[in-house]
Amino acid sequence: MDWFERVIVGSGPAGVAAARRMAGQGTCLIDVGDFPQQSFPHPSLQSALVGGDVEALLGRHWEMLANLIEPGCLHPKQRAAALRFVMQGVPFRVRDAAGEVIVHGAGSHAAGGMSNIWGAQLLRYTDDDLVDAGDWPYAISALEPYYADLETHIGISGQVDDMHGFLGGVIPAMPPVPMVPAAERLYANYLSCRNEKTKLRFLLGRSRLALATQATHGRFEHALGETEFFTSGQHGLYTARRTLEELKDAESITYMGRYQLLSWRESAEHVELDLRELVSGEHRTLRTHHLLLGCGTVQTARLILLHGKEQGRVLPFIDHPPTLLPLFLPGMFCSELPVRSFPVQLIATLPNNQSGNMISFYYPGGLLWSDLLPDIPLPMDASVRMIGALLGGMLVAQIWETSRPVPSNRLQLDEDGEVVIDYPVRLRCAALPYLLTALRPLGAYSLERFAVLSPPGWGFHHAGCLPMRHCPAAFETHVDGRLWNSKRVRVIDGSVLPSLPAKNHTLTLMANAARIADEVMRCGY
Amino acid sequence: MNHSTHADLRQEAEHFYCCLFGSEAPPALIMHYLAVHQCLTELSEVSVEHSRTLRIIIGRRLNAAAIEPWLRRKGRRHALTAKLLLVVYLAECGSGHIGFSRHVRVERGALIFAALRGLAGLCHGYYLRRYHGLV
Ligand SMILES: Cc1cc2nc3c(=O)[nH]c(=O)nc-3n(C[C@H](O)[C@H](O)[C@H](O)COP(=O)(O)OP(=O)(O)OC[C@H]3O[C@@H](n4cnc5c(N)ncnc54)[C@H](O)[C@@H]3O)c2cc1C
Repeated sequence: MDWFERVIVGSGPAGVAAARRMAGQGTCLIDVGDFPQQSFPHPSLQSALVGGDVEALLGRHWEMLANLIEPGCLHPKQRAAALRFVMQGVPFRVRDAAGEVIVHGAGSHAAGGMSNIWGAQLLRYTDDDLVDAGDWPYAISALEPYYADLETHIGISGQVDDMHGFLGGVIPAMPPVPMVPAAERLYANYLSCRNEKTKLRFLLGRSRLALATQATHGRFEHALGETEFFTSGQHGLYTARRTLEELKDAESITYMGRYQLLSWRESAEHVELDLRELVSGEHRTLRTHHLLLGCGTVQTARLILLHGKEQGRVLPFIDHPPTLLPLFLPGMFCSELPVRSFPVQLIATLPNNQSGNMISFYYPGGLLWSDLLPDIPLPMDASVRMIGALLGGMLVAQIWETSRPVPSNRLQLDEDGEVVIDYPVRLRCAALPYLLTALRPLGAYSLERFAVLSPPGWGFHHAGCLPMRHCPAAFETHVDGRLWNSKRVRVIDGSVLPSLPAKNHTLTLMANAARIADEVMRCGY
Repeated sequence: MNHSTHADLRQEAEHFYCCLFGSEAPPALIMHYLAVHQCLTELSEVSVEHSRTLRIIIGRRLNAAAIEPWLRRKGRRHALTAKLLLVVYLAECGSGHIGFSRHVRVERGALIFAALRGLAGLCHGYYLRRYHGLV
């Protein structure tokens, strides 16, 4: 039987962050996931469009048209053939207040996890965030050294501006991505209003992205070719796969790809893992002193419910389904469209609102224009003539608000052992009316009724199933990651985060996973 | 459920393209239109109501683009919306139509004109839908 001192399951952001801290003999990283079988054969969306490459753009089997009839049946990022490999894991479904299934999801099933399709906005939490969200068992100082270490490893772009404090006061290593004209105008208007001491109700600045805007340490600069919705593994865009490859190349870990963790048994001396090889279906057993579960919130929760044979048990579940608001800057209509851009452009917050909020401003140029037409309340022939002119003056605001556990939002297993998430309680986006008012003096307009609420589950900031506590109850975790009743099994992914401040949470779950890994190294057994 | 024949689909593609872009559909686009229907069966399995609407629009050569906004709905799309959208996707990705060019700059006057035309199209579509009893 194989033996490793420490085993991490999951090579997503949480798993690789822990593996970096435990690199060295005796650490094994296991992942069920695949690598992409296809990639987008063009350097940019523009070049594919100019070439009229229908197959690359719409898929050999017309994959990109999968939500032609049912727009909500698939997350837009999973339509492309080259991105589909990411979410082929164990399925889950999300039900609304009426018990209707509104999302058919699947766990990530890819080396590097969901980071293969992420937006790369990597943000620190601050003490204010933790206090506002509530229930965190430690202060942010517990994570600061890990944030700093990860930021250096990843390479973060951004700038020091009015959002500096909100983003944790760190100086980014690289300049921000170039702005598209609409974002440039919004930012210039913001600066001039601020300089004129006009009463501004919000703070605006450049976001922090895991994106190389310069070539560093032998790594490529990102090409900004708007291919984010078509391919993964782009040069210069950090994903957990990069860290995985580096650890493998340096032989600092043993990597077991295409192995699925099915269950485990814990004794006083060790944990015994039951694995299945994906291709042959063969079972394999492995022993370790420490098991760290980083399978992603939903999959880890499922494994733990199955392990406890707790079919009827409900666990809390939190997500961050964002509100999307198209934003128009009429002064910029008809301006020239950028040749190179990256979606995330600006970041803002309304500091005086009752609850935490964060707004990312996206440039939607990376989508096919046809994707946007059903949202324009005009005949499509007119919309086609207008869309290019409108896009020059368009951004999409993505609004995140603090998310806390609510008793009725919960995860459980059905009779077949499949994950069902009930998410009946969705708070209205409190920041929306304030945002509309705050943007008007900056020449940006929209209407409340244009706002679209993403369905729960599609926020992809899944958390809260096994919250960490100083004195955990059943199905909670200790602050050092251990399950409530365990000495050797720890959880390192988003499921241990007790609440979600209004920011992307992955840098924090990585820092927390690294912190737990250090606890393992220190524990003395 | 009603299934369309190849000939129906070809006629659909030609008419929809003409409504959207005012010219004859390129042969490659028609070929792709047929192929997508073969692959995405949901697109060919149209409810009796929707199929009647499609038949009337094509048979009477009505302006499909003008009618479509009045049949748009949240959730599952009307067959007319899905099919028009398919033509639009194929036109955009096949590099066939100037409206999708990222390099052509639209003047403000042209934008206002297009918006006004769009509004006029909406009114026309409303009338067509009522007059022909389309659902
Ligand atoms: C479209 C999209 C955009 C996003 N944008 C951002 C963003 O801009 N910023 C941000 O901070 N976050 C973003 N996220 C969220 C981010 O990707 C996740 O928070 C993050 O990937 C979670 O990391 P994880 O390691 O906990 O889990 P995952 O990434 O889900 O990784 C889990 C890993 O475990 C493996 N695994 C699962 N089950 C088993 C098993 N039984 N046995 C073996 N291996 C298993 C999987 O293959 C996978 O590799 C985005 C997500 C999506 C989908």
